[in-house]
Amino acid sequence: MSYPDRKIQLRKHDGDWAAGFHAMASPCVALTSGVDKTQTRKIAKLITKEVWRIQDKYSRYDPQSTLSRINSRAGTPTRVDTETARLLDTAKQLYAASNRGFDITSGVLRKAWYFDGSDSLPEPAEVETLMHKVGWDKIQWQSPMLHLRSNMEIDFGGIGKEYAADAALERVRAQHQSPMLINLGGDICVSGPRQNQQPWLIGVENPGHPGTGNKVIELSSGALATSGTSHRFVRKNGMTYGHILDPRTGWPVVDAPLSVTVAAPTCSEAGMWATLAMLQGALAETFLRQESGRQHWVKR
Amino acid sequence: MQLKTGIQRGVTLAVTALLGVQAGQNVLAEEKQWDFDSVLFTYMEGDSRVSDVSLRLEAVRSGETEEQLTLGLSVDALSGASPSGAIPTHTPQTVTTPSGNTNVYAAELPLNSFTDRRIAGQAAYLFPLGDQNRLNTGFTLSQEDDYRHAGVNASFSQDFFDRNTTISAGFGLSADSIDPVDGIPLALSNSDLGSTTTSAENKNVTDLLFGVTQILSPRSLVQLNYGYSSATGYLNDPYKIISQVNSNGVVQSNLYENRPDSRAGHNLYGAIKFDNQGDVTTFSYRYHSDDWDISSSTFDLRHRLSLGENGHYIEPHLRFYNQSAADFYRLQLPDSEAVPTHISADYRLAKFSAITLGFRYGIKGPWGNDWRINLEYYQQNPSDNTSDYIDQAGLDLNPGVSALIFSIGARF
Repeated sequence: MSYPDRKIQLRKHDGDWAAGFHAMASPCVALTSGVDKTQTRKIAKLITKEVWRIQDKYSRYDPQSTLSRINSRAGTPTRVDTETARLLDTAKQLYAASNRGFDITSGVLRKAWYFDGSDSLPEPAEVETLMHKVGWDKIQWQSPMLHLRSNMEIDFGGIGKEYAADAALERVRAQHQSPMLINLGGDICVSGPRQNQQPWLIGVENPGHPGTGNKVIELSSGALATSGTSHRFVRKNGMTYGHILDPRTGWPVVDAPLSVTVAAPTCSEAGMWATLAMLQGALAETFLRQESGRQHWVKR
Repeated sequence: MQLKTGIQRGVTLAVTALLGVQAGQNVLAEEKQWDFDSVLFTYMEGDSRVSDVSLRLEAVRSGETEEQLTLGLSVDALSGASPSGAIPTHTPQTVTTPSGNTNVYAAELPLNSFTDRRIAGQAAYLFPLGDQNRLNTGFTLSQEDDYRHAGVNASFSQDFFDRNTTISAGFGLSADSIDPVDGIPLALSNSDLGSTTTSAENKNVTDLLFGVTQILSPRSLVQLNYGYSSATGYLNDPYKIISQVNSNGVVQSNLYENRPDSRAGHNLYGAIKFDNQGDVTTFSYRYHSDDWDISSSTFDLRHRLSLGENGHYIEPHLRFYNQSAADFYRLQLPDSEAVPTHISADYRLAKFSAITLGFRYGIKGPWGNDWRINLEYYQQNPSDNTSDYIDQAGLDLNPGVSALIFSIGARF
């Protein structure tokens, strides 16, 4: 496959350099501090190489991707590579930790739900039929062997972007010691403070009211991840159904916050807390306060 | 050491499975407590009339939840000259006013020269009361050489329908005092005689405001406000005079103006805002009507155009304003006519239209800091500025005013 949109656009930014690119259906940026344009380009190349590699490997759209080939072998036992095995181990842990709320088999529910702002709700029977294909407990996973039931499929949408941010930072850090920040569509990790020991300043948008009530977070080390319902919803009979689906019911989480932002040492961990909190609906704040031990910002 | 909860253990295991053991990693994230905004603002009227250089600072502290403290300070240095209200004449004359010099030259508009400093402070506090409502309270103070202001205000907002509708109601009270250097002139007295009283005068203003904001879609909203404003007390401008002229239009004397001691008015404001992927169009209309018989309309259109990903934008701005005259406004007074109780020749109370053309350029960084440069041109066009008196042939009795406004601001 060729990717005409895989470009890196360098621009001056606050006296430093920013490298913009597109990955995982999101606008992304890598920021450096205290290095020149050439160095920034080298750093951005390493970052994008890793991010695009993970994107291609776990693409749902590319029939040649590792993920597509795994899904196409549903019904027969499949041996997976080490990286995929780590992702599956993670999925297993999260399924248990979330009391079945985090489920990488729940992607099929997208076939029933179109979050286009309209009032079209799926037929309960349609959801019920799809639910037969949902459930990590229907899968046999004994690393490195995966046995998906036929008609079932998995995807790593819930952790892929955060994992890619951590993996890219890890990779580029091995070769460059200069300060940097990676932002993959709002999932952010930094290598440390900026050149002058100042924190990176990160704006948290107010999803319902763009441009208003924005908070700024000063991040010196670690990562931030945000999970949100953004503008994707369906509305019917005065109820708004956000796009966070609960794999246990097949229906959207009731009273989910507009967005949850969590700070953690790694982007992956921050993303897990944000996703798990979303599934708690009205109890998201309580859950984060009592369980996570991490700083968090919830918008409703 | 805090014990991990079951879920924490699960998440730790999940992270370890994904990334391996993360030794020595920690997170250091703090919410930025203060936001600052500063603006350097200059206002210059044409023909070297009023100029104002102003520095404005604002600090906003955001709390853990939605509470917010806003503190503001502004310092102004004003100087120049503003029309006294007397008409220009072909015959040179000399006039003095309590504020200092009045420079009158043949065939030129009489102006009052002045310099003034203004310092103003404000504080506001936003309390979230519940999930869907909040209370905003504040006070304002300002001090000039001859004017003092103190005000308090409060408003309550309530959200409905998933926060798509917000209704608010508020009030403002202010108490001002006017104390010109040379005392308050005796209303309707001959300004050449300089008859003044020494005590300061007071003015009180009450404002009521009701508003509705409705989000129409994720990219558009409408806003409707109604306001009622009532001012009582000393509403004159102590520096404004009006000319008494004979049947040829020659100035015989100048009298201090006198306005009613109350003014009540209604304001209706509607705005609609569209956000087309970062290009924001805002159109607003304001209608004002009061018991001085002044009614006015303001049409305002702005369009913010994004220039690429780096947050650069340009924003052209067009405003059109139109007002009717106050019922006691007169350009001048024939000396054959009895002096009415209320009379003013202040050009701001005349019938006029005005147009503002503006342009803003902004640079916005993902850090939340943004820089902006604003340039505006204002032109006022009075409707009645000539007379048929022989001696006033060829004179522009109210040339209006034009002004250039420039500001540079930064948020950090």
